[in-house]
Amino acid sequence: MIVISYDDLDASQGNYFSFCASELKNNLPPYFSDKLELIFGQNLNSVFIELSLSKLNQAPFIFSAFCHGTTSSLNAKNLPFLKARENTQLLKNSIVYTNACSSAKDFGLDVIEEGAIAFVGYNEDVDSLISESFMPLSVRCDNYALYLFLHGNLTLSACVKAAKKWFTNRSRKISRQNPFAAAILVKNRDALVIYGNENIMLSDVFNFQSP
Amino acid sequence: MELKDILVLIIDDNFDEDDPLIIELNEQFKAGKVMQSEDAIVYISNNMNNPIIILLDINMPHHLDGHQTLEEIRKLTFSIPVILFSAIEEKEETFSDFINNKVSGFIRKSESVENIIKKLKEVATDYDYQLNNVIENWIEKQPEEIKKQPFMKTSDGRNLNYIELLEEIRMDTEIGKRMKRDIKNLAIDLFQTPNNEK
Repeated sequence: MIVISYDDLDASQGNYFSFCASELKNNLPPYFSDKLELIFGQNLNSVFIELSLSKLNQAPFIFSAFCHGTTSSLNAKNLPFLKARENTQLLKNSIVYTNACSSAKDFGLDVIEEGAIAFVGYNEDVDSLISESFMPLSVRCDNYALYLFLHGNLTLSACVKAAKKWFTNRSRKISRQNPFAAAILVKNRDALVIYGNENIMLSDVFNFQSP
Repeated sequence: MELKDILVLIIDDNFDEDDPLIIELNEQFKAGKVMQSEDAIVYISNNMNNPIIILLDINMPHHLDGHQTLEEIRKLTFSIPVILFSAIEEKEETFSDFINNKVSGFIRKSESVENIIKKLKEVATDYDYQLNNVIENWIEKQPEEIKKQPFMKTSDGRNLNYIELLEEIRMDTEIGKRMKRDIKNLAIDLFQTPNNEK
């Protein structure tokens, strides 16, 4: 099972988070077509999250979140729906992937303590590109490591490394055209971290044959 | 940036607008303007996106003096170079706050116009290579419609276009400082070994 949660109602970033979720959803391998749960809108709250995840976490699953964050929580409407030392046990047996700012600092470490398989996220506040020409690039960067993990036969660590390399290549390509955008990609690249079982592969957790 | 893009602002309560220095500034720079301290501060705050170099008198008995004026300017921006311009001898003046507020030099009023212009040109050259001004130059070159479109969203949810980003940088806000740091890190990253992988 893969859960894609996204805060589409956020006043400032709702559109961006929705794009991230769509990009992932529209590029899922066929294996996940009947194993997908979307959590968004008013359902992105701690109560619904508990109801949903407690049904899933008896077996490995992937949990992705496109939302705001703090060092210790993932938030929607400024309220945490997952918070370190409160309900992160719900993420046991999961591979957690999020673009929430700074969530790797505390939240990411805590989910591993509570039994998550692995965590990929940002350990600093990150910016996003929203102009028409650069938003697709920014969305792709936010998704890329997970996309590679779902589509390839790579360890999670190799996916993160490949994603960072992709950030670097993109930033080089655009640095003359737009140094600000390139600078943001470099910053976001350097903030991307992985915890837990870095050598996990998709086939380790699902009956999944890579294409 | 050309000299003709730069305004030289003389903040002085008793400077003759027909002084040969003003004539020379109008020839070689965009213009030379003389203002009293309070008017100058208002002018600067309304012209944050325009390149300015300031010649600042120290002793202005009926207005904010040089120390106070520089304090007010630095509340607005650290990007504008300020040169102290005074009849007072250097050793007679206390300079610690001037140093903290980053002055670019000291010129005696008794100096020849030629020497004053030479100093201004040196400062203008340094000005061009300060990161703020490199960034400003790049933004200035963008098409007008591009400058005004939001292009980034900060982690706290603010949309910024290039003009707004430039103001953040010139005013040395947290966002401005962060972006300058990110640009410096990009430059370092670009100079890493060619096929550097992170």
